[in-house]
Amino acid sequence: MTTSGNTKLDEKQVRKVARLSRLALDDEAIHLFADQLSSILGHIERLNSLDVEGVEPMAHPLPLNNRLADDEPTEGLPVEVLLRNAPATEGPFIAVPKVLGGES
Amino acid sequence: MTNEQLKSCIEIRDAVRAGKRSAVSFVEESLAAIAAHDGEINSFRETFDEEAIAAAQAIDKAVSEGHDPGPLAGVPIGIKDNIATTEGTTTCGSRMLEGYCSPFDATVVERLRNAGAIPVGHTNCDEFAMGSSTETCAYGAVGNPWDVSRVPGGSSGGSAAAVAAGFVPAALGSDTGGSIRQPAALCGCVGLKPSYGRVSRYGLVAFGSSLDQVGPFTRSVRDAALLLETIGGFDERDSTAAPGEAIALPDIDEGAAGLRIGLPKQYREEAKNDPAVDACVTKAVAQLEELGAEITEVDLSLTSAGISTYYVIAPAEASSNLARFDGIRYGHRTSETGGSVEDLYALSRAEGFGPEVQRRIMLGTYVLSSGYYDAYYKRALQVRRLIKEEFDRAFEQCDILLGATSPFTAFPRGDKPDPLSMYLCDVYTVNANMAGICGISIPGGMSSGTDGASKLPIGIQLQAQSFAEPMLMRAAQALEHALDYTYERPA
Repeated sequence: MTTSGNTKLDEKQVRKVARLSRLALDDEAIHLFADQLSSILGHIERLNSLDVEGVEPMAHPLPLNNRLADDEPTEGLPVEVLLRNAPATEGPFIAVPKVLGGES
Repeated sequence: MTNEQLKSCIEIRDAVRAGKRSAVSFVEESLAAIAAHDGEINSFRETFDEEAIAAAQAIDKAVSEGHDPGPLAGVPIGIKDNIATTEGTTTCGSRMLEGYCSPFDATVVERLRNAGAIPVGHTNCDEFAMGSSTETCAYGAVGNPWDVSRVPGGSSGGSAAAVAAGFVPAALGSDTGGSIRQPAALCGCVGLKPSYGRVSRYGLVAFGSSLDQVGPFTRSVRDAALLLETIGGFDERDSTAAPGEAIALPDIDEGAAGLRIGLPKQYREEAKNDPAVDACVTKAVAQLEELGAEITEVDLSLTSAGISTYYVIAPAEASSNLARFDGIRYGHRTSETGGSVEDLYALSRAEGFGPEVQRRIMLGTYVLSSGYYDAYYKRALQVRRLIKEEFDRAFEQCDILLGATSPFTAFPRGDKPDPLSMYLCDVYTVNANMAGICGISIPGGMSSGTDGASKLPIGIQLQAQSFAEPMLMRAAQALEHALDYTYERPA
């Protein structure tokens, strides 16, 4: 990876990122994203001029760590209410395409 | 539009509590104004007419029976479309969630209801709160009430426009990189981003989980303080809600005497501010000095690094959060279901998400991917710490940081087709989210409206250290009083 800016994402890389992102994009979108993402990454690479040697990464503004809930059962939401938002159902279940046994 | 005095939340609840006017009359007035005048503005995606009237009737009944209906009794409130309500649908401005009926209320909505407030509808926003103009909304762009050919800012543009237009006295928004403060500036209302952890995120659809906060839009600092008192405080359903009771803000009238106001020179220089914006800031500083505030210059040299840092961290968190939208349990599912499960995911997501959301998911996925993680994501987290430390040093020298909220006034629709140019709108606001500090935008004045353009609002941003809302609101109250900005209903 380059550290000097001007990263250019080619269409092959963009296709790979699209697959990792689970986005089925057509050629036109891939082409456009290659340009736009390259331009955005170029701006981001300005950070390379800052000295971050030895700086602890900061993922979160608050020093909160894994606050635990009491281990007591609480009432969940009713299944029929939740199923109302499912795109396809069969009885009390969410219907999905066949997962196993198909082509890999 | 009628030009009767716009009522504040406090005036409405006082009238309702005293039995002088019914909650129903306020809610009906709000719904009627939306029905009559929101067509071009498009601030509301949907209204909750029946439920709102029923809730108002319950308030009026409580009043007639001698019960206290709460500190926001009968106050109609707009709710940004990424905050879950059991009324209507919660879509995040996306086709992905078209028709999604939330089975629960967000904590902030529940707290508003308990205080007697009445949600009247969902306001339009940029898709999944990603944008600075409310043009990426799948249900139509929102117009600025001062000039509908211009944007209201974003991503909470509908909430800002609804308050500025006088449809509701208050609305909720969310702010991940400026999405409350910038539209408040561009529409001419008050917009408050609380400190990270001050307000529960439960029921706010997650965009950048370490950055997102819910906050109010109002037409006065005092109303914003009341809303924050209502929605803030610990919530066991949000593991990032800071421990502690809801904040009380009894002392916001103590004035500006003795407050130390810091002026970062970078807040004038980084983005070639409109001269009218700089003039407003200068006036605000002079007013505060006259009131006895001490003015000092401070250095925030990482201001411009903020955008680069933000556009690594926010998309990284978004790409992870939005992975839940897979077309299986809820949300859009493609009709082409003949292929594999992975095909179903990829087609559902490509159909359901608009281009800006796709772009940010791609960007986030890239910076988190093997081989690039250290160079982009880890480095951005390191710069994030430097930004926080720079704020910490500044807040040793001053209590409040003051500058423009946005470098410019509301821009014409379609003016920023290039994603990067849109991202740069948030140069003065993103760093507050990175560090978790609180910030507020209040109206500082209007542009002159010479050169043929409309007169447009200008926002002043005040920022204070994390959990220093009492100081922030006191300074904002003093400045608002000194500037004596009159809220008018735009023509």
